Amino acid sequence: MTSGLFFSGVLKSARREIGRITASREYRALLLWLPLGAILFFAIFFSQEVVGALPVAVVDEDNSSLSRKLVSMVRATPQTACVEEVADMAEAQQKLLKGEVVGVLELSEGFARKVLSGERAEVVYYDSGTNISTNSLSAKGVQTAVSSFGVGVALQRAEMQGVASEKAMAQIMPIGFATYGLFNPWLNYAYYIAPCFLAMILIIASMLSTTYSVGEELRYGTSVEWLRSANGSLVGALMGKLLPASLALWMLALVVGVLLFAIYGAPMQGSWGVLIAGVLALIIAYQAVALFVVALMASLRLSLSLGGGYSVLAFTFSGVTFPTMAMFSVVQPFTMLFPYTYFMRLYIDQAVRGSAWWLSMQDVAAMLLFCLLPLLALGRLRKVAVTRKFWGRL
Amino acid sequence: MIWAIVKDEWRAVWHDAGVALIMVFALFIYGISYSLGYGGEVLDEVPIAVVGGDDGAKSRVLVRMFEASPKLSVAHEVADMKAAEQLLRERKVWGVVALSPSFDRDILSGQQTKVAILGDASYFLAYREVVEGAVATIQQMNSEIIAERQGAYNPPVIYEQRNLFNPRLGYGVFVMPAILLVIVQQTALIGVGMVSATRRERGLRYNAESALAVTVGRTVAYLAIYALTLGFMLTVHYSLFDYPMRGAWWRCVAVVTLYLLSVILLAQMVGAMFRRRESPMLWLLWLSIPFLLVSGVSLPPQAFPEWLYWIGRVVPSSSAVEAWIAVQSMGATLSDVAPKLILLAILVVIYGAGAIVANRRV
Repeated sequence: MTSGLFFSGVLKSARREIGRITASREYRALLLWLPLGAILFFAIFFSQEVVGALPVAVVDEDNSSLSRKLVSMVRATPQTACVEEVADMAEAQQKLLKGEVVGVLELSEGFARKVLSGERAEVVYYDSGTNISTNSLSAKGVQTAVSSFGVGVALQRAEMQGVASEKAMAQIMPIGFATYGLFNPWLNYAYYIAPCFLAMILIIASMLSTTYSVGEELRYGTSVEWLRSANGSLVGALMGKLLPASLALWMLALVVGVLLFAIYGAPMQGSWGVLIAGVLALIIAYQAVALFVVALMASLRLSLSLGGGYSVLAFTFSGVTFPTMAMFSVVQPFTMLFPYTYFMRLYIDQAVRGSAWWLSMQDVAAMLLFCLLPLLALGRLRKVAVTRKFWGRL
Repeated sequence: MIWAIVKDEWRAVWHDAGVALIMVFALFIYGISYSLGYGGEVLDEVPIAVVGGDDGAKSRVLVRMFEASPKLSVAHEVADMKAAEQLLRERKVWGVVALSPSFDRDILSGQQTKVAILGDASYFLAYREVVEGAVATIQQMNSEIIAERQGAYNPPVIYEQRNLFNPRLGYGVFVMPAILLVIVQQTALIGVGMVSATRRERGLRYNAESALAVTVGRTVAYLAIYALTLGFMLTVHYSLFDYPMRGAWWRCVAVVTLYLLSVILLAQMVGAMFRRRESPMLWLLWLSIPFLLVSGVSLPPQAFPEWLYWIGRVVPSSSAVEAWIAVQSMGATLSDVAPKLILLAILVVIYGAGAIVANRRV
């Protein structure tokens, strides 16, 4: 086949595909309305700039001026500004089980006396442990308040012993420390988690739209007509079929980018070029995987089930929320089976960390490797496309 | 007559590989995959780099203490921040602890010395472990230094945190109860939708005199399937992965039954909207993550708009996940979770009515 014939085939196949997109309600929804709806959902979900104060119960059995001082300090932290005093631990536990409070701070009787006499004055914070993000936020608030309370008491003690105030700090805290969040100094949870979800939209759309588009040809027995449109070249037919969707999804990524960087103001520290190329690689990689699955299954419905499952699983196995290094060592290699994993590394390196562009090249390469998958199945795909017995399967 | 519908429905599920895959096997496949993914439960021994210090005895002690901390492991000791930054960017370390260049001298001369703890905040769990591990270690060393100087030392307050129902703060223990229930809802919505759409596509009708009978029959059929599959996941799978089981069995059964009922009825209502059997997957797969998020179990409800949280209550998983975690993970009584159960019961009534209307057409 001459290259002229090939390219005219790609073009014809693409024109045919655009016709299919505009004609099918479902196809349009997959490439446009559903992803836009999902983007709107996340835009609303992450629209709140700060996390509201978490309700914490305090059981102040001591009820001294010192214990009340500590309670007021807990109330002053942004995380736990919503403090409710309750009578006893039984009532506090009840509130915890009902979900009315996220934790309970207990100040036992004799707290002030112990603090003043230098005995062990324990402050215990109970949380459920069943919601890690809630728990670590509220515990951070309580712990900050308790430690600054402790420093205040120690400073007073030192002063009463006649230590000059500038030396007192060195005496009660020989090693002073400060904590910093590298690469995300705002410690903004939305900056970190929203991109993960937004990228999920792109991969679900890529996966489903490709599976749907090829699968429909088989289901309704139009695959021969499709091949013929590309002058009989399978590769040309595939390119023509996938390109319009790739471009549509890339446009969608643009909408995501505007939301993320222009509206939320998420950081973008690295190379735009690499990020944009990475998005395209991600879209094409998932289109390729979808193609591979359809060729193997030769059934629209089974391919949708498998492909859909595969695309959603990527989140867990990417290591963005639960780090790869914490996974079982036998599970760790599975994180490499999802293009999403490489894309999120690329995103973090470029947008969040502002690393050098070449550090992300291996991630782009890894995503492009997935594009070789359909080549392995080309023969099978041709057979499936032209053999009547594979058509019409539900 | 109802029994005939039940059997009809089982046949529809079992003889259709696509539906069986979604409605029966997906719960096992996803449940086990996610549990394995989160099976490591806790992050420990996070590699960090140590920078600076004056190589004196005290700084050696501090580095050894970092190494001994269960949360940290000192992977590299480097000369300057530039080298440390390189290691961070290559993902070889997830935090840096920078000691003042006059660390030992400061301590010996009674000056306060300085340490900077830099955690990699592009990965939140790693950041938290680094900061918590490093702060605890430094506080411990402070107590030792003061004790050395003064003979004995009692800090004014001792802070302790107890995670009542998940002592190690395991990630799977936290997230899997919610994920399992959301998978049930997703597979039921898609699976029932496929059954409904297939019937519609093929023009099949139930051989029953009333939509009520059809609804009862279909509900019993699906309820039986999920009672077996979810029952397995919440007992055998739960024990294998050591998820908390603090609820009396009858309380658990009560919560799960209400949940399954509302989900299965909603699925029949929604299923009637699809004309083609591939459609439910295309339209509903998108909802997995939003359903999990609006329930408020992964991010606290205080982190997103309150009205969204309340709108989310129309989805059965939202109340059910909260009730389930309270009852089974925390050992709450049914009266503790009564508001959530009442809401589920209201959903059962509303979606039940919707299902009957929807089933008039099939």
